[in-house]
Amino acid sequence: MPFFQVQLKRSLIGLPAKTRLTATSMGLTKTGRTLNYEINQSIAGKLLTLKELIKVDIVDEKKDREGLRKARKSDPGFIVEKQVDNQV
Amino acid sequence: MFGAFRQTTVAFGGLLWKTPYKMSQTQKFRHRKRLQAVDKVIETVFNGLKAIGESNPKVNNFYYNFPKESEMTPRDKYTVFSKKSKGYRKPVHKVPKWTKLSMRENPKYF
Repeated sequence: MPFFQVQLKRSLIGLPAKTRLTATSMGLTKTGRTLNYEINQSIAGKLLTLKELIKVDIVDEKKDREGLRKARKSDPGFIVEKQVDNQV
Repeated sequence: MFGAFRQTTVAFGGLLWKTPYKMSQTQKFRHRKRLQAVDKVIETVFNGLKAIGESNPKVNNFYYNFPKESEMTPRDKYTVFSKKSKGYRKPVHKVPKWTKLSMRENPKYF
């Protein structure tokens, strides 16, 4: 099932209260924040209100903020096979 | 002097506009990129609703009737209607918050 992936690209500073409230009600409070939403007409209308400020993609899986953060992390280049507790 | 009464060109000379009367090439380029980004948002939202088998009059109106960057004339891209300006047009970068607004359509007969 598809979902919207929305990132707030432009700041909300100095914008009309209606625009700011639309963004904050969706959880888009800071620039760079990425969130996933179920696709419905209500969300679609809100996204069009914010069309100059956001980037929208369609993704197959809905992730929470923690999941999205993990997906953004780069490959560290090594695998931890075994961890030893070195605390003295 | 400092503060509100400091001696500046603006304070002593009266009206002084620092905004150039025309946009630079790079300003126009970035403006086009922003217009294209808005087009992409509208298209993605339309496709998202289509993917779940729904449609919405507002979304449809934006998708079919809102002028796209590729279809707009340079006159519409870089200038906007202004009732106070000579020729009823002014450069788009003179509009407050112009990078966060969509001003693509003209009033009827203009």
